[in-house]
Amino acid sequence: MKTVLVIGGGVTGLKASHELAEMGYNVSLVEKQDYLGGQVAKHKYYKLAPDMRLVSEVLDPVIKNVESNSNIKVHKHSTITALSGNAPEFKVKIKNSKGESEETFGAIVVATGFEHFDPTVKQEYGYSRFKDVVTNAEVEELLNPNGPTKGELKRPSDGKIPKKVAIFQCVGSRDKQVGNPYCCRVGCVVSTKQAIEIKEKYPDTEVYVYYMDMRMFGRGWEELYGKAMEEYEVIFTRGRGAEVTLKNQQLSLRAEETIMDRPIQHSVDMIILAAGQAPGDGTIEAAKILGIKQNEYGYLAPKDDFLSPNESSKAGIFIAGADKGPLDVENCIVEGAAVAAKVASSLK
Amino acid sequence: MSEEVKNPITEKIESTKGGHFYKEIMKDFRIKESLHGCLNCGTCVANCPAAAFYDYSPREVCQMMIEGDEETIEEYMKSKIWNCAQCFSCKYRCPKENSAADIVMTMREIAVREGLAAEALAGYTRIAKLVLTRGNQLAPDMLSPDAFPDWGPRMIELSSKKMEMREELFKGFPGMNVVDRAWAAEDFTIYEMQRIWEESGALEKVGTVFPFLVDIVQDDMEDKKEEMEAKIEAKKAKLAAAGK
Ligand SMILES: Cc1cc2nc3c(=O)[nH]c(=O)nc-3n(C[C@H](O)[C@H](O)[C@H](O)COP(=O)(O)OP(=O)(O)OC[C@H]3O[C@@H](n4cnc5c(N)ncnc54)[C@H](O)[C@@H]3O)c2cc1C
Ligand code: SF4
Ligand code: SF4
Ligand code: SF4
Repeated sequence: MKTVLVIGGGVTGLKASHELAEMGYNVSLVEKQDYLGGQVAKHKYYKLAPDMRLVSEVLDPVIKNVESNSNIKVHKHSTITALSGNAPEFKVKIKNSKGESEETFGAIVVATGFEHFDPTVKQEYGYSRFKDVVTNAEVEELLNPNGPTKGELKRPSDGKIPKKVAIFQCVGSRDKQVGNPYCCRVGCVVSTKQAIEIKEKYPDTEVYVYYMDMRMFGRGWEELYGKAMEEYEVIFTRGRGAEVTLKNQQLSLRAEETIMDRPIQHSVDMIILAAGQAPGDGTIEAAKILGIKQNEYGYLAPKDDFLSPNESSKAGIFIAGADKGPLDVENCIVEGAAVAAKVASSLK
Repeated sequence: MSEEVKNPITEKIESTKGGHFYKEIMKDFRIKESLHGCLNCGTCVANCPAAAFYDYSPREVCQMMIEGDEETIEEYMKSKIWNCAQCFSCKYRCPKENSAADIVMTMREIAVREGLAAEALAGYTRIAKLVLTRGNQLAPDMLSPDAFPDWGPRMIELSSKKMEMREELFKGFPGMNVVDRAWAAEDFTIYEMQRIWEESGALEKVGTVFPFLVDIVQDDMEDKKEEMEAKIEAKKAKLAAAGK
């Protein structure tokens, strides 16, 4: 059976769909939003680390490859509601605003991605209590010329450009208090990217990054970190942001400068929370309907992390991208291609 | 001939982990729940009221217990751990769910038992005496404006009319109309309390830090003994009659 269902139209699902279509498969791509591009499109990311390339240079071709390919049928605003049958003859119900229909597929690819961690739970940071405490995803939109502020970093309380910005790393990650002991894997490079973007636009604004470790393991990431320090004078302070209060209408943060061995208070105009990644509702929902295994945090579990990284616990159902755990765009694209190859070899 | 140059870098000598105090602390059931490695992130320190005012750091407490150096542990048991306010903020913020608060609590108990606490606690003699002989130690009189400058100017105004305020607030509660203690406990209540301390072994423990306080309490009890024991017997008889 030469038909494949791909669930999720983020970079991973887009890449997988395109590769499969190129190999001659008929692909149905099901995306629950009315746009393609996943989190990258949803939060209007503007530039991509580490090369500071415009998102449009990467995302537009990936979307165009899908939309212009006659082997791919894109179902926007659609979800799956039921699965029956087994590989290589799955019957899947696809639902959209017009109704429900059943289609038959030889294989299924799940690329349902992640959700941003909601920092409201970390009450001590004051997110949703103090207007000028924002998430890194919100900052992506603020820095985009096509975003709500036309690319100006206007702080939400009064629309002024902040003179002092603090960025808190590891919000909702590496934190047993919220049940997420794992690392978000992109927070460090994303904050470094955002710090540079802010300094590029507003050289007089001071940017402080409060961190435990700068985890710069990706291609070109460490170099970007060096650039942030050397060329842009971003200040990296080793200590985790601990608490935010409002004093005389100004945000005040507490942390320990662990290298200097001293607790500090620091008044700033805006605080950006590098909120981590969490498995989204869409991923959890898909796992339930398809009956595939999740790991202890809710991410999709490969059959074998080393030997079959793109196979789910069920034959004929494949997994890829950020729904397996935090991942950056570059590696999501690699995952999309890898899963396509695995599907092709299983269907031949 | 050139003289031998001394290497100025501290050499990390053979670990002294596994010493007596270390073992005693690690043996306590609370430690297992209180130390799970440490990210050195400083969240505990940033939230710690003691770290804000003293040379004290809950992060150091955790790191010290991980390293387990006997000399450092002994040093801490004698001095630094007594700065902790036991507010438990560190425990509820630590991303590794450590609790410097529980570690300190454990270390304090062991320090008392092992006779390491006397010097650090010397300043608390008066408070200990008040608790042991009166049943409470905090008194409105202690809250003088100069002792708590951070309470602000209104404290000066308020502290000048403590007695009037207490009389007004606690009408009908005679034991509360005092300012040299929080409330005036009855002799019988104090006697009962002292007996509990004696029989539970708490008094003996206090004696390891404040030996003379044991005599004071025992003299205090002796003076009232006949009268109070009679009262206790009467109370027992009354309870028995009521079938309880
Ligand atoms: C603030 C921020 C900035 C970032 N910046 C960078 C950067 O500069 N460089 C970089 O390399 N990476 C960056 N990343 C990482 C990047 O966002 C991810 O790598 C990428 O979005 C993951 O792609 P994906 O396709 O796996 O998942 P997603 O983008 O989450 O896409 C999943 C798609 O599936 C859909 N879906 C979910 N469930 C269902 C369902 N049940 N049915 C149908 N559809 C469903 C969703 O609507 C979504 O469209 C950043 C991340 C954050 C948090
Ligand atoms: S990637 Fe960086 S910000 Fe994210 S959890 Fe890891 S160390 Fe923290
Ligand atoms: S319990 Fe002690 S160590 Fe912990 S925050 Fe309070 S004062 Fe600091
Ligand atoms: S908060 Fe926890 S992990 Fe962080 S330094 Fe303190 S004890 Fe270590």
